[in-house]
Amino acid sequence: MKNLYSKYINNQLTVAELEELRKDNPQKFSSEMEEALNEEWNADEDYSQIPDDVVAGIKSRLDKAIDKKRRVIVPLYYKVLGWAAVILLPLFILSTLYIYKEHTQAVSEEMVVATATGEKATITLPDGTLVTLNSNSRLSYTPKVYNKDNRQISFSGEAYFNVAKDKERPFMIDARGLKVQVLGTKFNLLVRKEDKNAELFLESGKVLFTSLLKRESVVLSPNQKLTMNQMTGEMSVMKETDNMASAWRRNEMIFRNAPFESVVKAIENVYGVRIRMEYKSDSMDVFTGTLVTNDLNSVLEVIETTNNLKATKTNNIISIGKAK
Amino acid sequence: MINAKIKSEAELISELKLGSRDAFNKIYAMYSKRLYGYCLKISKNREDAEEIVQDVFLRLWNMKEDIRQEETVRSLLFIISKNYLLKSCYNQVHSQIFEDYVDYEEKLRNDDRADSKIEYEDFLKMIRQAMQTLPETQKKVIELTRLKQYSVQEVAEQLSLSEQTVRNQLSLGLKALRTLIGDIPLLLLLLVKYLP
Repeated sequence: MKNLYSKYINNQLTVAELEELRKDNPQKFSSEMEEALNEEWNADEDYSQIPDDVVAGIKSRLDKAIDKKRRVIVPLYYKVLGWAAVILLPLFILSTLYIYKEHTQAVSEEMVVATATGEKATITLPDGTLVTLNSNSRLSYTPKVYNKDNRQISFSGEAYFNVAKDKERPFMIDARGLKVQVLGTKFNLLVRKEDKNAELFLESGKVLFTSLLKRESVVLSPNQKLTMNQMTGEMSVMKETDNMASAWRRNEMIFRNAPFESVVKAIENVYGVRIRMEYKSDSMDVFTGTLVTNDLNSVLEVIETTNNLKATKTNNIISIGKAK
Repeated sequence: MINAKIKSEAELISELKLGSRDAFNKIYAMYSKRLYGYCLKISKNREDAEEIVQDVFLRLWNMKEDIRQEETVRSLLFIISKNYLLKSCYNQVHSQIFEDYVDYEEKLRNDDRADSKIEYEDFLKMIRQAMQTLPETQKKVIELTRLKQYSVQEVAEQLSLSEQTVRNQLSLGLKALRTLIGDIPLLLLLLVKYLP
């Protein structure tokens, strides 16, 4: 005899049997019914007569449900994106403006250290590089960019550089008509518009000196002095043993067979004075010796005694004439 | 032949596991009629069967990554459909309208005037049509209590009637219905009358 569950499936229940079936609690109902369901499933009844359009109809709803489920995720995602855009867009615009402003500021905002005539200055750059500026010199750099990828400065005048070692970030000097690139060295650089030559004296380490006019580069070794003609860009390297290039740092000017006019010019530069020659000097007059750069009176004294001259100082003008 | 089928089904499962909609469609084509026929037989009405088939395949799609390779589509479909069907059966067995159906079916079987079988679904259709002839309140009360399984109390609230009125209307309506469908020639007449 078939049990009530398979009778239910096969529509063979009587009212009395249905009453019986209803007495089973849900747990019993489930387990008994499951058995009947399993039996029915495995009976493999032939259902091929079911019209195609029925399963096709279910399929189209099923496809919609699957795709809708996908869409449900996507709009939520887009919603979040949308809100993110609403919030982030003004933020981006503001930060772009801010960064742009900062950037242009960074580009324009440069540190300038300049010395006037007779002045000297020692500055420490952010990376620890020490620069001693001689008079009438100007060094500039951009603190925001300096020491990021490289250490770039612009320079004119004369200075002694003690560059801190940093192989990752080359120290680069842009000057009139030349470029100097170093990693960590000590050297003296002189590049003045009014001079005929630019000079670099290397004390230690290595530097790469580039003449922009000639588009040529020279690697210097310690105790070499490079001279570049500022008009032509021509370079020449000489061995230099004495300390002429660093004399200014010891408050000295060293002259060796220097024409008297160049000595006068040097004094004018260093002390910021005008010198008027009140006698016709012999163009063959030369001067050899060391003059200090921090005591005008003693300089004048040296000039007076070595050349038998008389210097008279009124304000900033010095008249030099033959001693009586 | 059998081997080939098993092999291709294993392939379909591994493709489905990887998210192939194509494999899913093939599985649907292979099994949908069988599952639908099965669900129809058990739930005894087309709407439920369609819903269950849709739910079962949707579930299959959503759990595709978790399918074990050694499983067969056949066993998977049974496992998934089982829970939907159990729920449907339990509600069916405990519904008033199903009792009415069994009652009616039993009478029909013992009546030699008619074809001794009526599908539950046709029975439902018949009831609905017969109900059209009832007064509005009785129709509503029967609709809500018998077909939608509301309690008398809920129906009373919904229709703003007293519970006693609902009970009275229900018994009047059912009496009328029983008279209507108890008489088979009249029933046939009704069917003819109300069929589109």
